[in-house]
Amino acid sequence: MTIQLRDDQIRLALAPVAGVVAPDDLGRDIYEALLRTPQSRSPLASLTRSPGRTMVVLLLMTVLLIGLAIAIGAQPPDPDRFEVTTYRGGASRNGVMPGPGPAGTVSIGFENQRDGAIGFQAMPIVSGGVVYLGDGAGYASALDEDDLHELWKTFLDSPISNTSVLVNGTLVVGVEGGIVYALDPSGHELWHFNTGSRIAGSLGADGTTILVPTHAGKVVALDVADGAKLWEVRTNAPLERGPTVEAGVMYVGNDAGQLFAFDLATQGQIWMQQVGVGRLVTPLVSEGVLYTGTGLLDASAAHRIVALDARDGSLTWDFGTDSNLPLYLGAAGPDLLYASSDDGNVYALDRATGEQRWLFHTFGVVGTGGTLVDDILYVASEDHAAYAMNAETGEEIWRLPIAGGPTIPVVVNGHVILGTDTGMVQQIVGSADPEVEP
Amino acid sequence: MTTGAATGAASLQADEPQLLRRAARGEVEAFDVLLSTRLDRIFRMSVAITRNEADARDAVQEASVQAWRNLPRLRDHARFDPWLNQIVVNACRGVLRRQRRVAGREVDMGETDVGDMPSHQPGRGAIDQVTETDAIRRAFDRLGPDDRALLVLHYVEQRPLAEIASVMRRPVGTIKWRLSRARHALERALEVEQR
Repeated sequence: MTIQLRDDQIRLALAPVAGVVAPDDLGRDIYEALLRTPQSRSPLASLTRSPGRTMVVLLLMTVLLIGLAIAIGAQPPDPDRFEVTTYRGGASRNGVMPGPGPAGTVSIGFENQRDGAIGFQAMPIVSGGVVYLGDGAGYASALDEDDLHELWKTFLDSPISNTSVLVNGTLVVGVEGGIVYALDPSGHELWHFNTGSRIAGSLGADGTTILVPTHAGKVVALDVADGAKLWEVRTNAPLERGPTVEAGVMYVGNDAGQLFAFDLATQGQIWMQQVGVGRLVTPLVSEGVLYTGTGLLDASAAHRIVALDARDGSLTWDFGTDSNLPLYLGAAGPDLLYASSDDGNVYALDRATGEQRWLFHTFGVVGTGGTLVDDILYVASEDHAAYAMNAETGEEIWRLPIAGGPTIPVVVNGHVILGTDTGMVQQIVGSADPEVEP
Repeated sequence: MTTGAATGAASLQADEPQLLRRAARGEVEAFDVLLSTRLDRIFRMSVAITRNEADARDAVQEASVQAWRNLPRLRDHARFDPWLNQIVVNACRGVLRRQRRVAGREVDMGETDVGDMPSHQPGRGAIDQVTETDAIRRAFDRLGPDDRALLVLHYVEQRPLAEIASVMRRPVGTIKWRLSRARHALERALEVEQR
């Protein structure tokens, strides 16, 4: 029996019984809780209300900050730790991370419910024992990689919906309000640059050049040292996904289904291909082949993964599903390309032909691709579970409940770290020591 | 409906922008007035999502404290209501998730063992409206927190898609698709209920 509900049936059933009101004592309980709860505000804001003491306090703060900076600066990066400093693990966005992943029986090691955070969409990045995150409430945060305790957080005025990039110890964050912030290792602003346009795609980097995709359809290049604008290139439609870089070429797809290749040395356009309609998935490039997904956010469009020759953009193969639901890219292994879909499936495709090799079903949207470490693919689904599977066969190795709709899982230094749309940061650990290749 | 101190707060008959400014500066009474005019609405929304008044109460209390704590960070006061909705919806999702973590893994609708489900025998012919509404509610109880929140925001609260997208931190196109998926999940759950 197939049932199709009408809107009014759903509305009638789901509306609370008429006359439901908040219990009389709820307001009182809330009021009493508010009286016990201090507001979260910038220390500088409170200083402005006591100008008489401002100079003395500022002087003390300066001394403290200098001391803190010296202390942090004196801590050498831990050479035994691996790092993941940009979206999908690298400039080519190939989804391969250094690992190792957790070994033995997995469990949630530490977690941190971010106070005031309204969800994470942006993948965390990890370097030197620190996890860096941007959240929907506009905070950039740093947590200790080992136990996720907060090291610092900085309010950046506007939601952060894309993955930041770490270059030469400088954390560069793009916020939806259009401003790019550079923060030092203690979270203090080094410089900022206003692009004047929404930033939703993840930032890229080429050496010390930061690549910023903007809703105005431009990629703006900034010098990480001082935020100086170096150049910009234009596409013909908004850029809501970030650039991909390999071998001196930047690939970027716009919201009109057009994929561009630019020479980073000259900023000249090498080629442009119309590969679909609507938004394109952030490209992935590996061994001379460029992959993207078509038709994001346009339900009537064809949702396909396409493989192109990176030299000229010519089509090699494309792949679609019967459901024609949006497809996302995860990672590229030696022989297989891993994609995922709103239909809850993870697909392994033959890189040479685009033929489906295996399929793994989860019970929620898998909008975050997958992360590949050696022969294990790590996937997090909106069914609120993280999975590890054999990358060659798709056979499940483990699954673990998580706290919400996830970001891309970061697999590094023996654990998996992810954020959720409920503002939780979680660390998945294993019961055994992970094996590390010498 | 007023909260704790608002009843006697005759001096707080200012307009909302002023109340917001005062609340953001730390005046609990101003925030209390702002909340009092919204408390029934956010409580009803929470009941609709959680299907349980005790859970709704927890969610509203948690969300109110979160909103108070973070109000100084809200730069655009014109966005107060969507921002508050976002916090309330997240609190409801959090309450539901904590329950599910205690209760165990969510059951996928496609794998549901109908033998374990509450039986529902529709009468001969068409199901009457009361029975049908009850069945839809039971089906709704089987959905995940995100699907519940989406359906309530769209069908009960009748919020614009752009606002729902803002609340759920997803693009509008994705919200359209997820709404369609949530509705389909509800219909599938109802099919199971009516077997």
